Amino acid sequence: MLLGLINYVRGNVRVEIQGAAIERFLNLCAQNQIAFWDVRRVAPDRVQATVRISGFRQLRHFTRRMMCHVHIIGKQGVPFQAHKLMPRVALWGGALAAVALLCAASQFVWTIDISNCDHTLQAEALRLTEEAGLRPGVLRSQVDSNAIKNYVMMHSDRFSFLAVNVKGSRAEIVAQGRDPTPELVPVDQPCDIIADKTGVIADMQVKAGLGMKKVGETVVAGDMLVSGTIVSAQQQTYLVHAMADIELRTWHDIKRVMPTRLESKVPTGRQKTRYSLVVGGRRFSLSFIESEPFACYDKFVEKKPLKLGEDTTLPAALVVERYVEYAPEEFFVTEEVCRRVLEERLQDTLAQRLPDAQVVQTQFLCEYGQPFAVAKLTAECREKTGILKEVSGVTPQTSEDTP
Amino acid sequence: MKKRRWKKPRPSGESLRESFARTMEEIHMPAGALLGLPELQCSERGVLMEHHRGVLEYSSERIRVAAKDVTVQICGMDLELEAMSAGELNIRGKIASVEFIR
Repeated sequence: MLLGLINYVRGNVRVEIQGAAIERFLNLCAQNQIAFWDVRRVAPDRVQATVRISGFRQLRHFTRRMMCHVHIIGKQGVPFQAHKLMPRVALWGGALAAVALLCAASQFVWTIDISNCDHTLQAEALRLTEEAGLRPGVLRSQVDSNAIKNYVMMHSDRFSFLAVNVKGSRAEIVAQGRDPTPELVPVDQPCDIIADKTGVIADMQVKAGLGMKKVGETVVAGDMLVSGTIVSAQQQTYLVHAMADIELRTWHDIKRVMPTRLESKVPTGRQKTRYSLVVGGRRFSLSFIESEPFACYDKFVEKKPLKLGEDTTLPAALVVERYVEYAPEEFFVTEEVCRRVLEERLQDTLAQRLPDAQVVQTQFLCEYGQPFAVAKLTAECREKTGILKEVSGVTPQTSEDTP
Repeated sequence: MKKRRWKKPRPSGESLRESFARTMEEIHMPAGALLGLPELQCSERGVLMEHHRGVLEYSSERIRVAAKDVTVQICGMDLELEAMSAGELNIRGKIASVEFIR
C-alpha cells in the first residue's frame, strides 16, 4: 500500500510494448535501471507494463534499437492530476487563499483554557487576563505572558501562582489559588480568649491569663473563656496575651428531607442527532431536525473545536446535539433504601460541616412517609474552641467569684 | 632440505574465487552471492529470484530466466512478471513447478 502511494505521488504510465523481441527489451530495461512492474502478456507479441514517468522517457531510447513500439495506455498519479488542474486558476487561487487564511488565523489566539483552580478563581483569572490583554482574537505576538502574570498577581491576592502558556492558537492559563492566611495576633499584644461555639467545657488548660470558666460549665458563643487582664492582690493590673487549650462537648442536629415518590426516566431507544457548525459567533445547522423532536427527552451537547494538529485550534467548532427520548415512570423508594441513603447523606454533611471535630456518638432518626421522608442526625462531638480578641479593658470576674 | 608448506589440493580448472566459495560452503557460510549463483524463494503464489541474467521467455504459462550456468524454468498458470530489476525478479501466479535446466 505504501509502495502504491509512493508510485501514485511520483506518477506512473501504463504502456503496451509491441515487438518481436520483447524479452530482450525487458532485459535491457532492467539492466539500465528502468523500474517496471505489473508486466502482463496480452498477446504473443505484446506485453503491458507500468513504468515511472522518468522511466518512460528513457524507454523511448531503446525502442528503436529493439525494434519495438511503445504505446501509452493510461496515465496515473499526482503529476498528471496536477497538470490537468493547472488551467483552473480559481482552484489554485482558492487553495492558496485557504492556506494564507489558515496561516493568518493561526497567528491569533482563539481559545483560552484555564486549569488548576475552582470556578470562582477561574472567573477572576479570566477577567484579569482579559484586562491585561489576553482575549480570544488577540494576536499571539501581542501576548506577553510575563506582563499578564504580573498584572494578575498585582491586582488580586487570591492567586499564589499563575502562568500563561500560548501554544499555537490556544492560550493555557495555569492558576493556583492562595489559602487564606489566618489573622495572627502578635504574642506581645494583650488579648482575651473568646468562645466561638456553644457547648460544655470538656477540657481546659490555661497557659497564660486568667481562666474565666471551669470544666463542666456551659458556654455560649461569645463568652470570655480566658482573660488577658490579671489583677494582683495589690490591685495592680497586668495585661497578658492569654493562651489556653480548650475543648468543648458540642451537639449538632442535622435534618434532611428526601422525596419517597420519584419519577424515573426509562429510555425508549429512540434518539436523534443534530449537527451544527459554529463559526465565530454564528451557528449553521447541518441537520434538518426540529428543535424539540420528542415529548420527553434528554439533550446531550458536545462541542468539538476543529483543530489542526494538537495546538492549532481553528475559530470553528462542530456541535453535536443528541436527543434521547425517554418515558417518565413513577416509582416509590422503600423505607430501607430511604433510611440508608439519608443516613449516608447526613454523615457526609456532618463530615463537611465539621471537618475538625471528633465525633463521639451519633443518633439517627428517620420518619418515613408519603411523599417525603424526614431524617435527623444528632451528633455529639468534641471540638477545639477559643479565638483571640483584644483585651476589653473590663475588669474580669471569674466564675469562682460569682455567687 | 627446505620444508614445503602443505596445500590443500585444488580441483583442476577451479578459479581462486570458486575455491574460496567452496571453502566458505565447507564452513557453512553462504557463498551464493560471491559466485553469482541464483537464489530463489518459492511459494505457491510466487517466486522471488536473485542474481538472474535476464528473461529468456515470457508467457502466462511458462517463464524461463537465465542465470549463471543454469536456466531456471518456472511453469504454472497466470504467471505475471510483478517486478524486475537488474538483479532481482519477482514472479506472481499459480506456480506448478520450478526447474533448473543445465
